[in-house]
Amino acid sequence: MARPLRKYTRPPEIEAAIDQALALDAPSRLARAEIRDRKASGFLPKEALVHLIRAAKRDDDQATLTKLFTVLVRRCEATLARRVPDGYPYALDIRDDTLSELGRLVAEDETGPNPHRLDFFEVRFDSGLLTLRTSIARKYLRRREHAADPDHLIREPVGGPLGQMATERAALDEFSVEGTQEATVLLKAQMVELNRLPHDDRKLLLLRFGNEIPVESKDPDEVTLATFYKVEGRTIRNRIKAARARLKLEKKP
Amino acid sequence: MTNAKRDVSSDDVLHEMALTSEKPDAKVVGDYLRRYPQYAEEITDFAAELAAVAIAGDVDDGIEPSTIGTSPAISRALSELHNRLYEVKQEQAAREAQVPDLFAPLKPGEFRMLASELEVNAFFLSKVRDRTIEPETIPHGFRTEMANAMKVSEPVVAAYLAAQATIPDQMRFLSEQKPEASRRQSFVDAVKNSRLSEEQQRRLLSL
Repeated sequence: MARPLRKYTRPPEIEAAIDQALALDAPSRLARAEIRDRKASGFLPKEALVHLIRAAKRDDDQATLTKLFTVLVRRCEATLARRVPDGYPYALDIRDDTLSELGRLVAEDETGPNPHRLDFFEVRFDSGLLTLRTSIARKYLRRREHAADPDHLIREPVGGPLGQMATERAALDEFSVEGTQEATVLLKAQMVELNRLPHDDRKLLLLRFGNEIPVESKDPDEVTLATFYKVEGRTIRNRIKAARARLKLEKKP
Repeated sequence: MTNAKRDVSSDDVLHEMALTSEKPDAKVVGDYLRRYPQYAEEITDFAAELAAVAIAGDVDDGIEPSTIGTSPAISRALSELHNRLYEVKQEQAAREAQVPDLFAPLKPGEFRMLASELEVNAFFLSKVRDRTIEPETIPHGFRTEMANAMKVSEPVVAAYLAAQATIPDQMRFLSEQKPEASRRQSFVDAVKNSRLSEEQQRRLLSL
């Protein structure tokens, strides 16, 4: 039976996959780990692989640990190649470090001040990997901060109120879905373009059009981009406009 | 409440947010920013990336993506795993070498006297001695009682209980295979499965 987690509850299908795998002998378990067809009988999701890896580590079964961990990081490597394509700043470093960090987490499992950090990876592996990846990306981007334009969040706005309205309108048009009035969503194709932007621009556009956080609000309790970045709404609009201009430049051959 | 919020790690916050929404909207992001302002950067980075993943939404062809072979990145991850694993074992061994064996000085009869003083039976105390109880589940109150009874400080007791589980000597010669320390159980399970009286169980579980 799957060892219970401290803070989380596994989805039933993960629990069932683990229980089935634990009932097998080691060679059969390893064979199952290699199955990649998600609909195939005995397919092991990444969450179940993490459970088996932790068990192998606990039992000091180095051979099984190495084999299962290799299967897991191969899957992660493919996912990261999609999520952090080469155009993304520090793509190679972020992908490599994320995999290494996963190795470190497994090695430190059930030790130290945060012994159950891998519990979440048995519940929602991809989100767990995303926390590692964003933390590593932040580390690289901080290194670059001095070299980047440190004032771009507080650039002076251009034009008066009418100009500002036109600016936001234009920014929304860039990300609008053709034929619809609501222009606060991003399309999959636009995501590819976004990956070419500097981190701060990409994050701003994602927060605005992906998370749909408004630029400003009359409701003082509502979170807005202006309150988060601690600047005026018009500054945010100009940032969006500048990001759009960068996107157009990036598109040129 | 405030202390609990201050103590919570950024990982815990981000994991909770991921379970709340696969694509957090303004309301969710605002809620987390209000509750954990110390992690504003982490929360917004993570929320933006969750949105990016949700929008990108890979076409699911039913086949789990995976690379093949061993790339330099995978070699590096494997090296990190094994190197760190080695270091962790070394650190653990060094820590344990410094932890005194609290039960070794006990003379015959003193073990049972200690059990009596702690209002447990010898069977339960042997689980404590052999460290087959998950250390983080042992209540502070019980550790303090142990510390008082054994005339050491509570951190010394905590360090002893957190060390590697031991294999009782009498078990070493009973198996044809390499003996292993038995899997650890929680304090609650140990209390319930040690033939303790109802009253003893109630008292221990109230600590």
